[in-house]
Amino acid sequence: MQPAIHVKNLTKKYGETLAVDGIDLTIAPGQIYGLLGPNGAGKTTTLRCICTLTQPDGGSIQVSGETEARAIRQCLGYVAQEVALDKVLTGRELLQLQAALYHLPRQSIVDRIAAVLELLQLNEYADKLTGTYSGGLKKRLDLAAGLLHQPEVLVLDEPTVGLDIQTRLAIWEFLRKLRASGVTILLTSHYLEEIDALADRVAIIDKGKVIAEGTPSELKSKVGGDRITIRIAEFAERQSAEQALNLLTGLPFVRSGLINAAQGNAINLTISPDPDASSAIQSKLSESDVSIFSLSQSRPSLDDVFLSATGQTIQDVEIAQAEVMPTKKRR
Amino acid sequence: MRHWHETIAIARRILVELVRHRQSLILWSIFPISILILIGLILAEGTKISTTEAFRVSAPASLVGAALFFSCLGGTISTIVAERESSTLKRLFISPLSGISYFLGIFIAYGCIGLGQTLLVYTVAAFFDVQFSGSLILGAGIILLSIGSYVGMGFLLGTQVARQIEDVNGLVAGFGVPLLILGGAFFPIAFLPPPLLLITQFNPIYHMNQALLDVSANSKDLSDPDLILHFRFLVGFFVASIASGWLAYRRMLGQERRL
Repeated sequence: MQPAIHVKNLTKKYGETLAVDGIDLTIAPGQIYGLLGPNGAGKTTTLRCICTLTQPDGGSIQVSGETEARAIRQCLGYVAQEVALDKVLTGRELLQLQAALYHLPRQSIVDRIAAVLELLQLNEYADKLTGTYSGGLKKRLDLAAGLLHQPEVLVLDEPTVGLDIQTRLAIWEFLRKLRASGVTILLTSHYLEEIDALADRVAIIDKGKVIAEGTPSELKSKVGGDRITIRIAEFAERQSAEQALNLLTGLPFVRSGLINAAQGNAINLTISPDPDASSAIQSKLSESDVSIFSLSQSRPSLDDVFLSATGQTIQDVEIAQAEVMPTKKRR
Repeated sequence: MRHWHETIAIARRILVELVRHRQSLILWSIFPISILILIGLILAEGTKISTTEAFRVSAPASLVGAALFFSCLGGTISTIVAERESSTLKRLFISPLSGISYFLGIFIAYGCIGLGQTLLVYTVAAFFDVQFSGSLILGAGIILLSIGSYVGMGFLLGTQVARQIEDVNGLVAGFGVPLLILGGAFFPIAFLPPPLLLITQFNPIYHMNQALLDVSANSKDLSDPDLILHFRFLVGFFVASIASGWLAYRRMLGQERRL
């Protein structure tokens, strides 16, 4: 079967920065495919290259078998992270403009607009100016515009960022319905639970490379058992954390461990299922007079997949970036 | 046909926006009328010519020298800058819309506004017994060439110079008002000192004014050497404006897609 999206050895440089470094993606039709990674990992650049908004420096892109920019745009719908609507047009007028730009047959325009308005529950607001819409309504109209020409592939960049939980859940439900109707959806998000809940397959991207790829459950099972995070102090010294880690790696249920510097040298352990693991860890550390500031146990998440591959969580990377940003701006 | 649908969609969008902003529509209507009446009355009083003669001379200057300048050039710059600021340009870029259609859509929208202003100016002038005495086709050609030139210049300035909406007023005032004065938009160039008269010969607005004046007031046609000179200059400026506007637009596409 021909893939809906096939990306081979995609590269893109901005000046000296390699934003995308040889990414390969193969996305089967009718899937929701998630791109996950911290800000600046290369997700949006990858999407923009696929959508023909950015010219890649190397590699090849096929969308529904098409390689030429205009043909790709015709079979693809793109909903950008920031909602950009003409404030003085009504929702219906905006969709009519979209219909004209995509050359929809005149006789089908009214029906198609009615269908997407119904699908996204926008009928009530269709004849109001988009400038009066709430954030959630704007996003829904943006989605409607992306779907109007019935694209085979829908590309969504952070589709629910900044939306309230009800709207987010409604959009998730809508995306599932869309997948059921055969539309291929490529989405980026740094909401881990969003990718986990929606995506059939995930590519985790860091520094412009795919560092892990598979179904969410495959990726999480590769990480192994439960995750235990121990902090021996709010901001522990590296040496103390390493000593504590050495004590714990001797425990029979501990599979692996690492120290996360970005979280105040917290100790992250991957363990085999064991109901007494927490108490055994506490006993082991107290035997050696090591105090515990906090201890938490969880099932592995996609963040743990990222952590096991890079030594940092997605949030750590974003916090580190946020700390660097003001310095850059001052220069 | 594909370009036609896209062009009409873009033009309609700009015109709908203008109609929704009723205040702008009213101001764009008041502006050429007030300029015409003011210049006409001042000219009649200052040069002791008849009111009809003063309005006959003022009508082309008020139209191509002032009204179309602000609506077509200023409007094109505002449209492009506002699109960029609100990110709606990106929505257009991701669609199969061609650059030619976008350009033509803006041209047609501002062409409609310009033709509306033309009707207003000559309707008001008619109250002062002014008639368009020359070839209507030639007159319409000159007005369309002027609109095209302003839209082309608007693309150049809107894509390459004005980065935000606040730049538009400064740009139109700083770049435009001296050109308008030197082009005879507000008073006849006979009032200018000789060194400035020399500069005027290279001012496209002067040639637009003179070409329309020669046709509308003096019934000249393209066999007249003076009109040929102005007309050639106008055609050359039109071609240069469209070409530079198009190149600037292509350059902007490259820049915007990197953002």
